[in-house]
Amino acid sequence: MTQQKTAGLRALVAGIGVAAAACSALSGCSAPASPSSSDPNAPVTLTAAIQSQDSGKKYYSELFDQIHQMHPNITIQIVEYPSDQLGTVTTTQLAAGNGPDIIYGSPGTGNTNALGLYAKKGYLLDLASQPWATASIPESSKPLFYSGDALFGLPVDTVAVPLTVNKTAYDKLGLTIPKTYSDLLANCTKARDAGTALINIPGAFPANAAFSALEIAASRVYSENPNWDQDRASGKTTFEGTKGWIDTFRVIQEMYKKGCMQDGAEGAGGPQIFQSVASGQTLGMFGPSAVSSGLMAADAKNSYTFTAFPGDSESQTYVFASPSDAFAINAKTKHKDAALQVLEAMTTKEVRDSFAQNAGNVSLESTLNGAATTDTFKEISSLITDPKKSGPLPSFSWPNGNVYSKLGSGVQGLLTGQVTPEDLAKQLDAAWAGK
Amino acid sequence: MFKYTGKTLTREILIFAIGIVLMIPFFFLVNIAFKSNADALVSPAIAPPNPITGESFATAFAGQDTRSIPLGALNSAIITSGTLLVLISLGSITAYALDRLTGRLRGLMYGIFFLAVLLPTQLGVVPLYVAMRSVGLTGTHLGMIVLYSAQLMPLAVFLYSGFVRAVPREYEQAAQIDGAGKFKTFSRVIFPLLAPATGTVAIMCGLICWNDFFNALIFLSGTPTATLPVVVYGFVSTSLTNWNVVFASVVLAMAPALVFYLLAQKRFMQGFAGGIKS
Amino acid sequence: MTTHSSVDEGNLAPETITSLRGGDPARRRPYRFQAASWWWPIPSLVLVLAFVYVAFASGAFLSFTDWQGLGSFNMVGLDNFLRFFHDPQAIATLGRTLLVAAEFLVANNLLGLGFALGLNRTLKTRHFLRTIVFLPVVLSPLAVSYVWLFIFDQKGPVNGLLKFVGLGSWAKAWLGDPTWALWCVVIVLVWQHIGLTMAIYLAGLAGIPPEIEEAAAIDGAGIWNRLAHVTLPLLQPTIVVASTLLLVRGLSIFDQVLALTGGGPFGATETLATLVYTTTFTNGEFGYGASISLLLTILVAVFAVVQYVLLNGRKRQP
Repeated sequence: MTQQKTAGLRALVAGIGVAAAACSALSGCSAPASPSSSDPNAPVTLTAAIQSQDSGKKYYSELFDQIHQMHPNITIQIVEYPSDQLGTVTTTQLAAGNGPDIIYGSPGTGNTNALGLYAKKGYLLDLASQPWATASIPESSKPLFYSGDALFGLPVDTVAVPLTVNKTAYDKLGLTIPKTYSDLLANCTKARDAGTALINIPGAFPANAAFSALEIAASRVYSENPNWDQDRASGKTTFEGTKGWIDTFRVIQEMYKKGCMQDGAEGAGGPQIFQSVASGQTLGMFGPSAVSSGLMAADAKNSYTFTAFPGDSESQTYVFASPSDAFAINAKTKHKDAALQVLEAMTTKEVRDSFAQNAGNVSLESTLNGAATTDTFKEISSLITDPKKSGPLPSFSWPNGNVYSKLGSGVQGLLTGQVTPEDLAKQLDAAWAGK
Repeated sequence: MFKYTGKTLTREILIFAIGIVLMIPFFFLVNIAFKSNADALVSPAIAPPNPITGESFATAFAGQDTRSIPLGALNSAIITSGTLLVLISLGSITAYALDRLTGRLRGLMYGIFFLAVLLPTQLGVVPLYVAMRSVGLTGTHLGMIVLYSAQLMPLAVFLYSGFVRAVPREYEQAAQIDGAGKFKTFSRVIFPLLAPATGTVAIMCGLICWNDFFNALIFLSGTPTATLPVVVYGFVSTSLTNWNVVFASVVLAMAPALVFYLLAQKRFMQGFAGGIKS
Repeated sequence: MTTHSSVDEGNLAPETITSLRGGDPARRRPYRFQAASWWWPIPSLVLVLAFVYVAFASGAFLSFTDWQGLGSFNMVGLDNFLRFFHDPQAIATLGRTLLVAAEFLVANNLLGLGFALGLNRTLKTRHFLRTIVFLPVVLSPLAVSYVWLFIFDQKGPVNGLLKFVGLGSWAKAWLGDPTWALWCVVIVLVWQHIGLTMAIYLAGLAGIPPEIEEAAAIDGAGIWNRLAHVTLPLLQPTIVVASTLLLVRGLSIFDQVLALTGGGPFGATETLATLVYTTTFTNGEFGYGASISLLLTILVAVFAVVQYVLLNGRKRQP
């Protein structure tokens, strides 16, 4: 071994040593100081966990900025997590007895980040004694926000899950918004003749593929029986025993065979959805209104509109619109009063309106008090304000996240022919039972 | 010996061709990273950027709120180098001692390290988080260094062991005859001889540490100590993701690791091969 | 090892030769002096016991519970394991996991060793080419999977190339094809690990004095002869190291698979490791997830030990 090499080695080890020393110095001073005070106007900093925002549209940041202006003594420090990891991290932190003061999540129990799962184990503050909180839950959504008698969270807006279509491209091809399923199939043929496809289905992205199944089921299952989920929970019905679900799965296969979806829909990934729709390769996509709003903001060249996926007849058409961006308070928060003030601020008209506007969703003012919706919702506004024509997204009230994931991968299985409609229904029932 | 012949040229061209195939994903990575937001949204992945712009790099570098690439890089560098310091110093001496010691305990200890290479670290992540939280080790550089050092120590010992076994004992015998103590013999004679192993440990464990997402997410996210992978993954947004920005941040995050690899390769990979005339 | 007599060992001490061949004089001849102190391994031992074993034990304990990640839990005995073995899809996943690991192990060893041998010396651009081959390892594994989504896309370059060479009928949605999706996943995994395997073999090759190979070459041994009778036997310890690491990795990789296919189409690329992740963190069944993880650990341990013994055993009978 030459001298040179040994010297180089020592230099490297020494360099690492310096970095390590710097590290312990840094970690020493990174411990935050937490002042506690009983003065209601004393400055207080709360932490809020949310899912990652777009760099373009930071509507959660704007929400908390607005609340900070209403309560200048309260500063809210946002902690962002990738949406698919929010539940994992929050669960771990809650289990360890810490976690953020304010927690973002879905209502109900059917998602990985569902607040109902934490509430069931007593990790969220009960808001049932706060009149402003109880008044902010639409009647049809109450079961999604209560765990027993405890109110564990409240929504800030209503998210619709429409079929978003590229109106510019529709007009160019002379297509009209279909009123019935057979109109839609006719559109599929016309779109195919023009070298494009009517709907983008990302088969390899289960979280979104599941939306398409739900949307198709809206007019086939839920318009007939809006209480299907309760009936399923009480064992009165099953996926396998509901003709509407089997029909839904057959419709997915039929649309695939008739070319309504883009070529290779079974293997299409999430990142390509927007590219495909914005470039006109496909004419529409399923997804929550906030997601589609992101597309509208990013692609100014085309105009988009929200539509409902039609039923066999026009009267069957039904959409999902649910109060779903929800916030809750960690039961172990050290700043209970300030956290309550923050949530109360979310129930004011100004905050609701501007949040829905920024996020591209429907304001709770429309859902609760019948205020007019914005232009994008024109096509479906008569549906979402009619309790007989719309309801909350069913997956929220499902007992675990597995049913929804199974539905998403099931769509892919239907497209590849790996599973039949009947078998998929059976497997969904098994997932419901936690098997 | 081993002269450059026509056959060698064929080999060189062949490997070059395969190398180009291996680089294809990088073409897409860089190609998309140089597109503007609007361009990346509508153009196919293979289409050249129109116009070529560094704006996604600027966006990625500027970061937002808690997402900062420079801070993430600093955190990653501190945690990775601290971990490597522990792994190299403790790992090499442990592997050496395990090989040279005799007696019953030696076999037991060797078994403990070998088995630990096989144990998954995910299984106990929640209990571990709870325990580390109670002693204030979550969200700190020190905590991560301790965690990674423990998780990667079996691997480091395992890698060193293979090389320690091959070090001829004449060297240490000679050193001890010259009057050097045990530790001095190890640090002055044996450790430099383990240079190729140190290089392998530094590269393998360093990269695992640098690119680890899962532990960093659980133990660090939301704190100012968040590492690069957590920052990069943060650019994958809930709704409309700007892939040009994500890929630009991937390129930025890759750069330091690449430089480290080049340094480590030059210093260590040749190791014994220092005298080879090629 | 019949060619041994042809190697000119005259200039090297016999001890050196034996140890370079992977033999170990200490095992045969006891030492007169102590080279190391008994307490040297203790600090790292304590670290590993505290953070790896205790964490593993608490995780393993959970596999006998119905814990959901929060709050209290009940002991359920072997229910979780029975549930696994009664689920035909879980059994299929077990088989698939072994297949992926085997493909991963073989492909990586062949390609990694091939690159290491090809780039060990002589080539003018070898440092540059080594860097090229190693580059995929440097990338964050999660982020790079997203690039592959663009490549395997229906409108992506793979299909574009097939159409260009007149094989348009082969074009397909690769990640949505029940047969091909698993191969795509393996390709990405191998692509990401060749560089690492190559680095391990290069380090191993660096430990072989060129004189030995030169001597064999002078004696007229061809490339393949030299490889089979000189280089590979001397690389024995490195092969053990590389194969063990690749096997452990191959059996337990999950994040790339999740980013590429999410385990789809309809479970066609699900492996035990992705199943552990989705069961535990997506479905919140920490108890059941822990039991699958424990089964996976047993699988890894059994295969690694068997492989280790097989590879090391061959060395003992030259």
